[in-house]
Amino acid sequence: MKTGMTELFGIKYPIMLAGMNWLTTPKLVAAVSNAGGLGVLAGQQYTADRLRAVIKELRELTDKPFGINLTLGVGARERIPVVLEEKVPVLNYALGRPPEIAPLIEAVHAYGGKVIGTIAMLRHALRSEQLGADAIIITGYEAASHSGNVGALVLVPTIAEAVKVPCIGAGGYADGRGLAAALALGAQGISMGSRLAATQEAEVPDAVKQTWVSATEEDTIIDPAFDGINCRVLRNEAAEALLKKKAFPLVDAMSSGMHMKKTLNLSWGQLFREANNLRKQAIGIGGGQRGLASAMRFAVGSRLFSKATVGGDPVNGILMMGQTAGRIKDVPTVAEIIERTVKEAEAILKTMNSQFVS
Amino acid sequence: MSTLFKTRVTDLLGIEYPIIQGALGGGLSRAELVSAVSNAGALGMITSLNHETPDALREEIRKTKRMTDRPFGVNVTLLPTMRPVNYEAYFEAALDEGVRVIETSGRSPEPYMKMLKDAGATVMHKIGGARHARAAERVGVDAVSVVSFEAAGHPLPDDVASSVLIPVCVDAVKIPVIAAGGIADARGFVSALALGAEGVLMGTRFTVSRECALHQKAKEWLLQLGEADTMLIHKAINNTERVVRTDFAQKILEMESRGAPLEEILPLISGDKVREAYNSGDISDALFTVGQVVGLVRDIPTVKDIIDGIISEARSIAGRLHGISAEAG
Repeated sequence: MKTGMTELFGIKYPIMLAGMNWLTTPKLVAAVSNAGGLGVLAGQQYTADRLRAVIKELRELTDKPFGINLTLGVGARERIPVVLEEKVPVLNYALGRPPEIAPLIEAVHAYGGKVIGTIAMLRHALRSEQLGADAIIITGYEAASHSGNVGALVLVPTIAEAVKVPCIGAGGYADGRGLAAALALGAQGISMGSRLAATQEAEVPDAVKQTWVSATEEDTIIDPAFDGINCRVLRNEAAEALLKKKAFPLVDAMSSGMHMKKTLNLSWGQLFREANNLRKQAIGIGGGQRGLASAMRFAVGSRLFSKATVGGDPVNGILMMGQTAGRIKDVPTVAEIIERTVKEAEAILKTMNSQFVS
Repeated sequence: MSTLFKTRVTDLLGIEYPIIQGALGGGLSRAELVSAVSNAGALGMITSLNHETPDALREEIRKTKRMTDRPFGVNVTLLPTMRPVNYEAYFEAALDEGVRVIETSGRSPEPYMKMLKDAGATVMHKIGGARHARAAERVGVDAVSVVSFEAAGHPLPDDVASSVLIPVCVDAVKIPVIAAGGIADARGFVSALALGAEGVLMGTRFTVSRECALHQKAKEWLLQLGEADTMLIHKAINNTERVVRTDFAQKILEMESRGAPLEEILPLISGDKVREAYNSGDISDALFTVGQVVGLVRDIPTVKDIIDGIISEARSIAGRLHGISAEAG
């Protein structure tokens, strides 16, 4: 299947792995790239040194193109040089302000790499293109984690017709129907998160994989309560509890903040500044609070996210999950998902063509 | 030479294209619009409760029949209303006048199924989730229209969007599924069918057509709205509806969230007020029901141009995509 996305990245199928924190380990990322898609690893989850080692590990596992995802803001500054020095084939950035984005894109282009911007609004898509991004991920309302309020069925065509670079649909896509649907809307491929994480190769506890299988499309909530901006997660006790809390007890925030400081290697000042920056950038996609409250939400959220995925506790932790959970019924290998997605899409497009009767 | 697009929905309804006009509120689903949609090969839909009495509905059906000899449908919304409604009398009026496509929504059509099926009617029912699709299939409806998060009229509060909700409902039932919400052009049409739907229902697109009775000023106002210019209201009163984000709509939402009594809210959002706004084009103090897809609506064509355009463009999209998928081998 040849599209603008496969041509741009030199991959076989127009399918990428969403760069999810705590889920995208070298093994999973390499499996996606080896199966003909584009594996993307979340750079945020590792320290700069560890990230360098992980990229080397990834290169041992695959000789195919792969990407690193960076959320510009919290701790990105020390990871950017690693990505550039390692000449990572694809950089996928999210959030960020033009003064940080533009030089980053230029630096990646300088060594021949490609850049994808992740956005959830038309305005941000236009800005990404203008700053030089080679492709854009359009995040529909269905998606896990951060999104805006517009469903993919409307958002994908709105943006795909407004920009010239290839667009990749994200949010709600889990199979060949989704791939065919996204292509019809003008996208050049799809990004899959939850679907590719519920696979044999994903290095998360079985309890987490089973949660994706058993949850339905109605089992998620989207709210700024989890990390300060609109974020879609599994509706569980921990999530309900955070929704009810109007403010955090200081002790919760302090201990979570310590945990995050340690994970991201930040000073307290950096932590508050970055959390506040995140809120400012995200205003377009709704829901941020000011200052300290936002930083506290961010700190508590980060800790609970890792508790769910790394700790394998999807009851007391917070699990980012898309509405696409309603479409996940099994835990196959990555290659199986990618192959059946492509085959199914091809069959659908063939049938569709024959439904026209002259 | 005309092109047809055949699915189980076109067979079921006896139409050329699997496109259905959404039952519009505020008196917009009138004979002129409904007959134009049916004459163009799709299915027009009269909104029964926009008529004060069953006799008024009969009049509208007769008028529509003078304007088209093609099938059209009558929608009966079974939601709680401000005045008590004799639903049976509306169904009877539609059946007596020879209408054989009935669309129900709001509540299970079970109590009326025997009456409708005995009269030989095809019944479509609007649903917002998989369990409602299964329930509708169990009581014998012939097709379900799945109303997603993007839609104007009454998505479920679960907020599930089309790219997930359509395939989930398609897998939940054997009867054909029609996609409602987020579709206004050929891209949405092909996309919904790829997700497994066998037809599409469009409200916002037909609202902004030449034949729709909405005031020209209001149509032009809708043209300049973006995909993010809508909001959901009435969640608090269990009747979720998507409207244009105006100061007035924000005010109503704010009243709802502070728990203002219904007697205070209802006069502000009455059907008469909506009708008045639609007729005058004065948008300042009425709710305008639209889907997110209003952002993709940029012109005011005839109904026939909308439908022909969708089918011819869909054909070229399907051809192009088939080419892409065949290529790599």
